Amino acid sequence: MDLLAYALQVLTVIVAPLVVGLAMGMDRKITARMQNRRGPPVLQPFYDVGKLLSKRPMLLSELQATFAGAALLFHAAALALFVSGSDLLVTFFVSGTGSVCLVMGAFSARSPYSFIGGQRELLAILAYEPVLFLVVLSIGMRSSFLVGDIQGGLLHDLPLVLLALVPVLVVLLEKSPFDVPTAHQEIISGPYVEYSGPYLAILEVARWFQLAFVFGMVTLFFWSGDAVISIAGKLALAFAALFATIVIDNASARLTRENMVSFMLIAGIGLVAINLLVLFILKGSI
Amino acid sequence: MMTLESKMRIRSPWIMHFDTGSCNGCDMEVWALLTPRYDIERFGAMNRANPKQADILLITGPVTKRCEDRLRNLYEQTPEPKLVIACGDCASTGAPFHNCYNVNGGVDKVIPVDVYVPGCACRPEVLIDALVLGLSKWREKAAGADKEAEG
Amino acid sequence: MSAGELLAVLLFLVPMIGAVVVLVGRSVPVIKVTVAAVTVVLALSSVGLLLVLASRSFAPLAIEAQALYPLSPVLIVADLALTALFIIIGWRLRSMIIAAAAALNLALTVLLGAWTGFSESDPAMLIDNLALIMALITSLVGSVIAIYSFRYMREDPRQPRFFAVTLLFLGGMNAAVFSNDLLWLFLFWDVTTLCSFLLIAHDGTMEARDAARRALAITLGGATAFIIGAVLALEQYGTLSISDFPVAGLGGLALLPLSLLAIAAFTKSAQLPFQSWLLRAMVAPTPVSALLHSATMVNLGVYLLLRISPSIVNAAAINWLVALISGATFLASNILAMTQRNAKRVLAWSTIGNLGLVAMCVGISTSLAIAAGVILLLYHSISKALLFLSVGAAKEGLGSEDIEAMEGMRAKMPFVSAALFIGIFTIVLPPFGMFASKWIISSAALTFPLLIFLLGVGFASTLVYYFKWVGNILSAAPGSRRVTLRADPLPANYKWTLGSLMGGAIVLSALIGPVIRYLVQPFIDRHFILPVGTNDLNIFTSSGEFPVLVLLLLVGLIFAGLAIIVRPGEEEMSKPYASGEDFDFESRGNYFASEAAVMQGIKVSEGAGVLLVVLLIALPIALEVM
Repeated sequence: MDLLAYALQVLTVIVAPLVVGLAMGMDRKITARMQNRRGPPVLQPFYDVGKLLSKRPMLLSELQATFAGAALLFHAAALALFVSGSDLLVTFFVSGTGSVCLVMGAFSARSPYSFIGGQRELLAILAYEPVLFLVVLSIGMRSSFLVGDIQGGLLHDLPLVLLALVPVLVVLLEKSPFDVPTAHQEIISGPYVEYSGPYLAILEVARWFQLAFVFGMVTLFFWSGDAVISIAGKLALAFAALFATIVIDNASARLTRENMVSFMLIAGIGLVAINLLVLFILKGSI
Repeated sequence: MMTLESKMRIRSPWIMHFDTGSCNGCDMEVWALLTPRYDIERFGAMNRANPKQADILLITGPVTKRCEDRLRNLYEQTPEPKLVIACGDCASTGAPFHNCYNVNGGVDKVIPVDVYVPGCACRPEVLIDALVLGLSKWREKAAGADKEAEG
Repeated sequence: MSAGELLAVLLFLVPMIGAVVVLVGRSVPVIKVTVAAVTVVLALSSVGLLLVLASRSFAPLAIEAQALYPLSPVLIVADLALTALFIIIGWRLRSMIIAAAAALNLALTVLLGAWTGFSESDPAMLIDNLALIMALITSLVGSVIAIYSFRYMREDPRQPRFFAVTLLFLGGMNAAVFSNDLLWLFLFWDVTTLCSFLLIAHDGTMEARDAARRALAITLGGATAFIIGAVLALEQYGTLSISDFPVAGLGGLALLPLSLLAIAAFTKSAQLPFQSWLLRAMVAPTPVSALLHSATMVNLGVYLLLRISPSIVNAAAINWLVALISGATFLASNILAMTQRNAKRVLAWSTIGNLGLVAMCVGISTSLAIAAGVILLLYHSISKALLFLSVGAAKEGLGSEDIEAMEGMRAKMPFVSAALFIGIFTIVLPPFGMFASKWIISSAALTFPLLIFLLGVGFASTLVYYFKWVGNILSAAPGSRRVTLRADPLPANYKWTLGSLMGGAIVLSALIGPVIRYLVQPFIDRHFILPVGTNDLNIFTSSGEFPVLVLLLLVGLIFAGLAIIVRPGEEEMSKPYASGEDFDFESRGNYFASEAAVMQGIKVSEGAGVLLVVLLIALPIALEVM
């Protein structure tokens, strides 16, 4: 039984990023349909990664490869910690380390666009990390930070906190209006600009792991005693969050760096604060 | 049998467009590829604007002398395997700028070209055709490699 | 005299004697031999003290004043002489504020002395685990800095003065953390004030003198708050012995001594609104900055807060204000650090922020938070010393302390770059020591939800300003000539001092389980029940778990593994993409705010600080009146 649970966890760590890859394909398809286009096949992200792996590797600095690998491994470790039910706060920080590795990779290639991309990615981290941190703390505030112990009631108690996760997802999915670091028209995909071929594929997969963790946090908000309802509800909630970001992406234009940071901090922190305040008034304690 | 690798390569051609002194006629047609009417994303193509992440270079214009080094740079920065498509008459032959003192007269004077697209300006349908032709070259190459491996 | 007492006395007396020898000897060989001998004694004695305390299973070691008989009368004389000296300095600086504060201090010291009949409270010195941790930091980190200074200060014409003051500083610091009697603590508190004044003014330029004057004015003002607090403590609690302070049932005017001591601590630790002296002190030579920021001085303020934390914890309203002041300091300093281009100023703001975090832990007032504060203080000292010393070494090579000057430094100065990376990683990234305490603080702050908002923004800002810097160092032009780590022409002195701090930072991070169990826990257990558990591999709290060693192994494996696996060949190298052009660029800007905006930000945060500090004094009085 124990072994089975263990195997299930390992399986989840492997399958979750693949599901995210599929979701990215759906994202592109839905976006295309919204723009009255047919769009690529749903499996397109996998074709892209497969193609990138087959290209000739090209680098500016060996550290680029090191940091790409480190980003992948840190994000994978974060997901593994999350799935195995460890401390959400530690998981969050490990995942943050992965993001920082991307920044260092961008900086270690001396190239103008890469440098600007790195700076902007840092600003994006400044924008979303506090909100994500507050989301983690408000989840942990209820009882425990251990993912394994978090059960139910989150959606009921913390609806605005879930709402605060949506702009975070917009930044992480590199979508308008917050695709500041990877603005492809202005700075040619920013931190990724000097990555190509297999190394870009590594970063793409790292992003899937990262998104798997953040979407995992979204799924925590739904919980039911029945396993089938639970899983269906979790997937539905994650998909709803993804759909919301797609709608926002297609309905908005890119904001400036300053706008991104101030909006994320004011709106994100405000939502969490209002939620906690209301909860405090209603329940008398948090 | 094609390898999985080449299958994926054909399904995900990322493009980069570079203007080497075109009158912008062809450029507009290249951008038209991204619009809902032509939508080349249904072939998995994406505009990356970055040679390092591109597979296919769409080059417009007759390649002015000032542009030559840049074009060569971009070509070198595109990792193999790669395709070069010369879009429009200027890019193919230099056309009205033939023998001008300040142009090279065609992309193939500077870098190897795989597919030439005629037209002034070239039409988007023909560009899609060129893309498919280029990809079929890859397919043939892959098949040839397979045959060699078998033989 | 027992072994413990002997070691304690050695720890503060030997550096002071060394200082005199240096002043008398004056020649460079004498200085070198003396300083080296003192550092050896300091290192051995502090470790010896650790072993002595360990053999008593970390029961506090009390030292009666009688045991130090010839010392106590000397100290009384020294106390009066030092305060009188400050009056003279104030007079000579033409600063009425300094002279007035010093005169007030002298009067109150005499008053206190007369009140207690010039006899110390018992025990006069108390060495518990907190004092031990502080002594270890001062002695070990301080020694490394002193040795580093051999090389850094080699061309300085005033070496005897520099090394004498440095040694005196270390001795004064050790004595201060051992003191349990408030008057003794006041004396050594003033010794550190004097030493910082002399060291900041070391270069003798106008700027340096101004900075030193500012530092003296603020810290001496803090000393006045301290001594008034001591007088009130004697009046309210009937004792000058910190260990006898009442821990419960405080209200009204009885809170005032705690307020005043907290304000004294804030001046020493450069918390808002008193932060300006620490920033100006950046004009001093780099070893001085390292000394002020990691081994001595600023630590003393938060040490005092931690020392009186058992009383503060139960003094509602006072602890909230302490948490608010330091929380505001943490937030403001981290945001301001993003706007700085001088590496030392970035580090200065970061120090202020981290000390704010420690003080905030006292304000949060749970045992979990206080444990986190002690851990943070310990790990911060090592990493910060490493960073400052690295900046000094970089300055020797580059001729500048600007972050922008360090562009691509990893290719030219790999050793210093590695030291900077390790310093920054151990401060920011999991699973190193400082991160562990930030993790504990995050869960501890849940009892004070207002603070989590400050923490969130503060932590993210930390990432921004440190990694902007890392980015500049990393940004080496492709194909540029690389110096290998082994062939780095850095002087051996720097290699050894930086190397030992690097090793210390990493090894201590791995040993955080034992550090918590044997060093932190005994202190916390004296006053509280500590809900942090450790089985040496993991740290637990009631609400979470942090697998330190697993993560550390993971990080080690990730980077070691990647270093071995990733061997891109020459043919993989290409040119950077710049739209087909061949060109290099200079990084400028990305400091997000104009100088005017920064000044305004400082003014606003100082204003908030003043308001809160006034509230901190007014509140006990208001409570008394009501």
